[in-house]
Amino acid sequence: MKIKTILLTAFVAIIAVISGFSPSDNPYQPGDKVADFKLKNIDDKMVSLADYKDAKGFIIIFTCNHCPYSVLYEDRIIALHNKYAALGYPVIAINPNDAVKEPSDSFDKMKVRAQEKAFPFVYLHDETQQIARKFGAARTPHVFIVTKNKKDIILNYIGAIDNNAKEADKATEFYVQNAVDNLLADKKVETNITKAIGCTIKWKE
Amino acid sequence: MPELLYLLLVSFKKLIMQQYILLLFFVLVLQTTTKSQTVQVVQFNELETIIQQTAQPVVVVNFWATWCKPCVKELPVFNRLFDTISSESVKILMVSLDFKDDLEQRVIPLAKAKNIKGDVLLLDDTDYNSWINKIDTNWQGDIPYTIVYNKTKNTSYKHYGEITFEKLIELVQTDK
Repeated sequence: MKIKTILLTAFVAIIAVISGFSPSDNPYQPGDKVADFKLKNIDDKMVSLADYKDAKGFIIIFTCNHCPYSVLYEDRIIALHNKYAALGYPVIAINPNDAVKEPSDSFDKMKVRAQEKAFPFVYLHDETQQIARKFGAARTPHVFIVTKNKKDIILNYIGAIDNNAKEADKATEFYVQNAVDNLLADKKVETNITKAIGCTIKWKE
Repeated sequence: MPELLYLLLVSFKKLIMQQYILLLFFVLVLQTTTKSQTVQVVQFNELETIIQQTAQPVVVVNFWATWCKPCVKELPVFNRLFDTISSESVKILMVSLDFKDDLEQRVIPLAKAKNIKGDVLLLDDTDYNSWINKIDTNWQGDIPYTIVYNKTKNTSYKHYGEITFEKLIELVQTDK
């Protein structure tokens, strides 16, 4: 009896350890519960999703200072926050890039850019790149819309902001807006995965 | 006196002829050296057609952009492939995702400066979500990205991110 319990415990422990390995091998998919995180904001304070008691969900955007696509979308990201923060979906911008590979994405440069553009949203530093791996962020910008459901946070959208990076006024499909509008109306997100061209994430060597 | 004038005219004519031939030669040389730097602007369906209709059994397609540092860094890898394997066997398509506006200012000059030997195309199809999955449903849209089509085996090999020459030649020559 004793040996059985020991073996069973050991088995369970091994499974638990294995499932904790390589989060990047199983990034979140729509419908998955996502874990909260704690990252440093450009005001040097730590920020978690739990800090936002009144939020209904979040527009999480992996972005950076240098990528031309991120820069092209900056104004649109600001507009998304200005529209949806008041409705319960603030933007959470996260810079996942390794500053050694890309010096223009250092924490100090993040502060500069945020000030230059007067970002109204938090701009967090994913220093260990763990959060980027958990979400399966693959490019900048890359959007992940999550919604609170009682104690859980559910991923509901992965993808692009709209279908014209270069010219905002030529875009005809507003993926993020449509997704958040669906969620605010308690409807299922119609298009929950989209793709766009972007810069690779600068992973640490 | 007329003989002198005649001689003068003849030598002058010779000189003009020589200069003309020299100019012609110069223009021809210029043509051949700049020929490889023409950039074809295409929509996605045209790119698909080009890939499908190439005579070569292997087609290497690299998606890059002038503003993408790792993309520019790996350009020599594709030139090395061009120099290593006969262009009868492998077609190299260097597909730029620069915006069309940047063709003259950025793409053509960089293609010239880096002496890109493969065919340079500019994919002017900015509705990315409409075609990324047609290339590869696992591709998240980050560049550089390389796909090697093997028409003989009716299969394709994908590589995400930067590629080395060793990896590229492996994908081109694999028997799997």
